[in-house]
Amino acid sequence: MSGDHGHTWHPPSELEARTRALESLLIEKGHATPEAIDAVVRRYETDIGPLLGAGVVARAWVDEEFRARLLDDADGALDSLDLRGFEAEHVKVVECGPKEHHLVVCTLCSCYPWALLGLPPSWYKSPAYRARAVSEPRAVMAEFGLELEDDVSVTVWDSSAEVRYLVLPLRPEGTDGWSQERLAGLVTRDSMIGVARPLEPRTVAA
Amino acid sequence: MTGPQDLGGRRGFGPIPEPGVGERDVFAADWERRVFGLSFCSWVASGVEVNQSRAWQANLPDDRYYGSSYYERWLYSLERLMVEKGVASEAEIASGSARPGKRHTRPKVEPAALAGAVAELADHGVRRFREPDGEPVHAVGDRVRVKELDPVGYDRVPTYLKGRRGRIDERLGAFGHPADLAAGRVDAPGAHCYRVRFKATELWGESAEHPGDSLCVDLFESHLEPA
Repeated sequence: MSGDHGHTWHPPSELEARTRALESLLIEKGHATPEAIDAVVRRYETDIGPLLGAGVVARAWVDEEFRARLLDDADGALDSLDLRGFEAEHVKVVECGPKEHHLVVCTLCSCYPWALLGLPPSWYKSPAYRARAVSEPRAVMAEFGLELEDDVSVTVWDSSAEVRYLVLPLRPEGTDGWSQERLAGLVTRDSMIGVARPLEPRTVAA
Repeated sequence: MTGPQDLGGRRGFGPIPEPGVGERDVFAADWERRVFGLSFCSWVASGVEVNQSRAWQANLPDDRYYGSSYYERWLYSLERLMVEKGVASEAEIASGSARPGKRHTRPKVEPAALAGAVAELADHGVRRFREPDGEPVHAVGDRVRVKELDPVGYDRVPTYLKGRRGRIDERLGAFGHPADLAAGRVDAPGAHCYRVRFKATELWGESAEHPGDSLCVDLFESHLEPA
């Protein structure tokens, strides 16, 4: 699978060779080190990912004071959790309601709240998503299996400057009394971008 | 700058590829991992600003931009920036080894300290606010129109918004202007940034999916005029 889909597939060997050449050159010149490359790759493959955002959402579902602060001053709320990392220095959290839905895109590149969700999935970076999420968000969400009623309004957030967006989805019904940890298990990456709802309680083990 | 990267509202790209693929499809191949790691190092060691990478990509011809994968474009912009910043020559990029005796821009961080510095950047980010050189012109609730100009430089105004009218939802403070950052003027005064809300019908007319829908986008003062 390539980073983008449906495009010319360049022979991997050419890209591998160019990458290897650049890597050895920059290491030789002291502008990169194997340790630094490994450290940053490990950070984004194992430490920084959607589980962090899921924890924030679940906390907002169980802690009314935190939820209010998160919506009013996400930077302050995330600071208190030490979650204001790179590409999430400034965050706006947008809350879904029974009659209100939110969808996040970056039409100009692929801006995304890295420190909360990790690196973006392939489809988020695809020309199709970047082109269509602003002009036909409902058709796009339907391709993910999310069909919205006619009495639900949609706001699309095009991340064009320095603020990154996180969707606070509606807490699923049937989760009364659930702990924050258990609720976090329902919060998917896609539900925090806005292309899906959280998982249904019955789909996860008790 | 209108380029291939300016995708909002464009047609012909078909369905969303592989919607809903798992939570962890971050890198599709090992070379993508290496390109990501090298790029991250360049933000710390070589003084590369992310908007400089974006600007190189936005200057690609359409067929190359759309014919390249995401990390292929990162690789291309990193190669160009290493030449632009005097870290490497074209011949060195092509051969993958340094020419002996050739002078090059020194790294901003000693190699022994780089792994710690990139982890620090990932965990704590960078300063995005900049001191502005004046008061903001627009207030919350003001009606504004997006200028139709196509200014020189990497200005980050999506084309689908040009000429459209919206309302200021929030004042966001002052940040480095993308055109300044892309040109390497990282210490230029901050530019006031505003969250502007547009009705879907204002943007898409009769083809809007729903009259109750809207769109929010963060735009700089230089992009806006009173409506």
